[in-house]
Amino acid sequence: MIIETLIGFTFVAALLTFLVPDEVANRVGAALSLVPLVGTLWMWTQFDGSGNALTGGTLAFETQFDLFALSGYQVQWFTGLDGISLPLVVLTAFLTTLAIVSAWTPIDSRQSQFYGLMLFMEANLLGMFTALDFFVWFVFWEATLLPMYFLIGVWGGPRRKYAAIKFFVYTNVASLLMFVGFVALTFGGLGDSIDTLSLPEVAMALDAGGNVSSFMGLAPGTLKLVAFLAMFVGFAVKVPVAPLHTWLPDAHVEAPTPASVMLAGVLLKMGTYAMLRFNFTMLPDVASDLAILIAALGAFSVIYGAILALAQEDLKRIVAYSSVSSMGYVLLGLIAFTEFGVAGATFQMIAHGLISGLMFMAVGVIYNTTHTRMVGDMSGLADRMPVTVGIFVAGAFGYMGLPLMAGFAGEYFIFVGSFHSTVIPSAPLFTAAAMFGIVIVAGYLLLAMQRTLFGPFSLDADYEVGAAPFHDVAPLAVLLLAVIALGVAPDLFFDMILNAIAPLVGGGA
Amino acid sequence: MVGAFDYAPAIVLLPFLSFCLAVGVALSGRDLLPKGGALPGIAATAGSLLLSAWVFLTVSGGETYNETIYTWAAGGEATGSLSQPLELTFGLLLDPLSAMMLLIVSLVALLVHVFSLGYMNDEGETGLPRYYAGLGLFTASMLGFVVADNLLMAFMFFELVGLCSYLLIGFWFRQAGPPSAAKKAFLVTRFGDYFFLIGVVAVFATFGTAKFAGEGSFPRLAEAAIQGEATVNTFLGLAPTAWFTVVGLLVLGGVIGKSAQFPLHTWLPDAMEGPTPVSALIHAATMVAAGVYLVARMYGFYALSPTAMAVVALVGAFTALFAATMGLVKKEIKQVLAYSTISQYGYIMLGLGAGGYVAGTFHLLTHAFFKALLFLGAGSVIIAMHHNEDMWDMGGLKDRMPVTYYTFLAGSLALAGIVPFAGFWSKDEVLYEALVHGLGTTSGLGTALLVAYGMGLIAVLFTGFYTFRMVMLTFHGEPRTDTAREATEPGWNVKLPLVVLGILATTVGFVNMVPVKDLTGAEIDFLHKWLYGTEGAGWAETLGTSGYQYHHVLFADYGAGMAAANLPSYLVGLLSLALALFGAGSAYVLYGGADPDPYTDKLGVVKDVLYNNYYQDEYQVWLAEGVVLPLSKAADVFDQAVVDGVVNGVSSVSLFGGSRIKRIQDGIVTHYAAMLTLGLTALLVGFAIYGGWF
Repeated sequence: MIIETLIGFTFVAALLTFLVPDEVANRVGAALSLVPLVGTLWMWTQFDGSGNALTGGTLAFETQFDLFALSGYQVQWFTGLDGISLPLVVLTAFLTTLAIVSAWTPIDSRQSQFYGLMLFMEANLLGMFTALDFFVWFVFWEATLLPMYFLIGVWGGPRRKYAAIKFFVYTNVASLLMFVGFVALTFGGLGDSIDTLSLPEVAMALDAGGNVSSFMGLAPGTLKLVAFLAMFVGFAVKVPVAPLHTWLPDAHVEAPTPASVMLAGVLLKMGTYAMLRFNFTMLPDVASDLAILIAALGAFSVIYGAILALAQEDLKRIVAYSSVSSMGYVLLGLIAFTEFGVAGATFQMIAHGLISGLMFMAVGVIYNTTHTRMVGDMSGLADRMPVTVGIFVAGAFGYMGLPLMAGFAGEYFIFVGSFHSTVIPSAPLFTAAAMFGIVIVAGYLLLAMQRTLFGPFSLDADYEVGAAPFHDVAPLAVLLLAVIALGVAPDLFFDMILNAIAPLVGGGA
Repeated sequence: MVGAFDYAPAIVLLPFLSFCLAVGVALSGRDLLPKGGALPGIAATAGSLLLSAWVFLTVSGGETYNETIYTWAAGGEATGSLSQPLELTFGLLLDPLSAMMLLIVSLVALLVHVFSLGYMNDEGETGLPRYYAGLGLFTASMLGFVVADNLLMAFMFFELVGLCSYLLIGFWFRQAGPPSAAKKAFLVTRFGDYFFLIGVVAVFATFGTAKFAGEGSFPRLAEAAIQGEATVNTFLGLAPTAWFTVVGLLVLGGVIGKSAQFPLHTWLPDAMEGPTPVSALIHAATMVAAGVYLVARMYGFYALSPTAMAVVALVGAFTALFAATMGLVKKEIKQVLAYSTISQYGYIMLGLGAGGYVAGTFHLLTHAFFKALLFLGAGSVIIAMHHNEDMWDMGGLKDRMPVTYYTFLAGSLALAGIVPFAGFWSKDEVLYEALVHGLGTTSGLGTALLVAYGMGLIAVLFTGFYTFRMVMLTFHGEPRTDTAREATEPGWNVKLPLVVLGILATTVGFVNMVPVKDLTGAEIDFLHKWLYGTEGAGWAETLGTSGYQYHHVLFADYGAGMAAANLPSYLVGLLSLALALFGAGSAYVLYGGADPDPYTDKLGVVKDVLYNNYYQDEYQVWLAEGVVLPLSKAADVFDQAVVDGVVNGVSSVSLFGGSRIKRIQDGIVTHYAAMLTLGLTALLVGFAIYGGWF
């Protein structure tokens, strides 16, 4: 019941934070967020799952009971963790606490609502990553949108309304598409051969083969294809896969720093996590048929996102587009269908969550001090805020995939996995093409750093620019240490991820 | 019993600890350490040097070490389409090659630390903890690279070396130049490392292992696969030999970037923006050396492919010649040295590509000492000249700075390749190997090696000239400025490293005097014996990283297919010595006078081309700023207008449609009634058509 306790506690914590006065909300929010953090870290130490949750593996912290029946299907409360979801749960709790602390400086109005929404979002994210029944999962999935909509729309920049509505409508329409796809597959295709919509049951029914019947005049094969595409597009918006990415830079630029951290760090991973659980676990044969298309989309996202990042003048937009690029690697790893590819993709979700969180926070700290994010507006910041800049530089090299930092591990696993993939035709060429991203990422980050951080100090401002306060820098330092720890010892997570991936790929086929 | 090998990890960890200490001090923002962190750095590198010497002695006793010490990421059962489980590990490979390199790196690093006391501390620099943190991490990364027992670990430390060069080249970040040079250095080498990383991935995907040495190492698997005794994965429908050539050339991309070979050499002259001791470290013992060391480290793999060998030799020889011509006309002392570095690493590549494993390694050894010496000597001059680096503002320094002059002269004689200084022996052996293998080998590789030999030989002439032009302009003649007239030699912390390196640059060539051996029959080719071991026994057999193994593969039909012509080494040596003397002598004649003229200006257009480095920088900058940036701007416009335009278009259409449709709901009951009727009729007609009522 530990999972339920944590989710329940976090909801209550959100409510409590809503009610406290604004002056203390920052500390109350941070203190309350420590409970789910400690809880998830405890679960990490106690983790005893093995295998994949959807293919009959042993779940850790499993809870399962019936809720109610819905048109012939039993809706269940069904939660548990395997080696894929545990790292994501830890990531969620870890980033939420740090994001809350990073909000202390920039958020100066309606604090209790802000921190309440952050905790509300955390509770839903924890539910989404642990739920294994489709109904419950879908409720959490949709409910994460709401707090993010308000975080952007209330505390955002000048164009916050546009960005918030675009974010909400775009991803919500995508969710609808995904919902239709899943329902067509299960209600329509599987029909009576399943009793619940628990994800393992659906996955195993599909895996048994031959269960899918035709529906709405679609032959089983076509139905699976249509369902796959509907779900894939639905999740791809969330990831986001180019060319479905345009909501992301707008949302990031307008969002306050802590919301950006959560958006890039965790919310994007919902897309790839769901792709892994639904598309690639439930319909692997369809995925294999579409491998060349998906691999091309992944490589395209990497290069296209990186080239767009090169053109940006706003530090936050640079980091936002580089997320498109980094998440492209995840897609490439998933479609490789090798252990290193899929496990590397999962690892990259964590690595990118930490590193992009770090970069957004670092940009936020610079913005808190300089009140600008435009590359052309400042130079030589290293002179005034050496520690922040030092961490910025370290984080940027992490983004570039410097070895012994988490990003390199994730990317390297993906490259090895996709290079020898037998699913992707001409896999080495796709891999090599996507890998060129590591050159472009160095180009735009080094260029931006040269222009803003180094050279003679200049900033058109009538206020003092000095070192950032401790509570701004501390979350950066903690994230940097986590990035290095995972880079030096990726097995902290990689071992359990591999264990959960192995049943899916069946020896590389 | 506890031996040297048990302490070997400390060789890497000691400088890393000094890095951590310096970072801590830098973060505290207070002056906690004496000399701004120099002393921990000196202590750490001295410790590394002692341990390296111990390892060296142990290895010379015939013992080697090849063990995994840390599992970075366990593939466990993960095999996929690979033939064996993938284990990504760190380990140590301590054999004669790495033992020798450890000694070079830790010695040069120690001397650079000592020299920095004079160059940085005494000059009142700020940010010293940051400087010594960079030096410590640089040394640690390079040492980690040297002892790496597999290609992945080597790549990882190779990248860290790149990071450190970025941090140190950009040390003076408050100016505009250094950050730009640092960016360029990282970016250009990153471009090479892109290919290297594909190569690393390919090696894992092909062999399932990236170990350099021992049973089941990838060079051995490759050798067995070519002979049909083992199966490995090959990709893109290529046969093993062709695929291995591709992989070898991919890895070579990283080598060309880090060792500043054409066309990725452009970062190196700019890297002179960093502090001079850093230049010494980068050029002599760390970053630039890392590239060629990698070729030597996986020589057994390159030796399998005649194409790869030819490419290595040709790239090296062309770079040697190309960089030497640019060195002829430079004004600044460090620029001349920069181009000489590029040129000399070209020779090392030529030696390795020409089948001269010992020759290339030998030149790596001698070059490390004489180039460190020359950079530190230049640093001493720069201190005395108050950071003016223009040689035309110098002159006559030999009387005012005798220690610097004589040690610099020793380094210059070594660089020019004048007997008996170190560079003569090694460069001569490189050229000798190229010639005999070029004449002996009948395939296309032979022709390639002869062409390479020709280029290398012409470069000798230029090397002699630019070296002594530099010596004459700096030290001889009359002082041309007041600064030069009042120059004084810096303190002991500058002179001590110069003297140590001066002695080494003079004598280290004696470890492998092949021409003398051929003349007298005395068995004095110690380096050769060191790298060959005992045939079919000991480490030479178990590790497979000995000269015997490489020689065997180079001359095998399934390998590079080389053969050697029979030529006396001293005759070949005489030819290059004569050219070097001619080049040096011309420089002496032209620039040795009291007030030399800028003769190279008379070259006109040629001088402009050379001075502007054949416009290599221009085209690379144009590629970046004239092609890639506009392309990205265009992509951005496309993304905003078309990709996002579609998204916004869809929402506009639905908003517009919604605003029109909502007008239907105008609240007038008769309109609703009309619409109900219309709708019902339409529905009925629809059903009627669908149901076939008509």
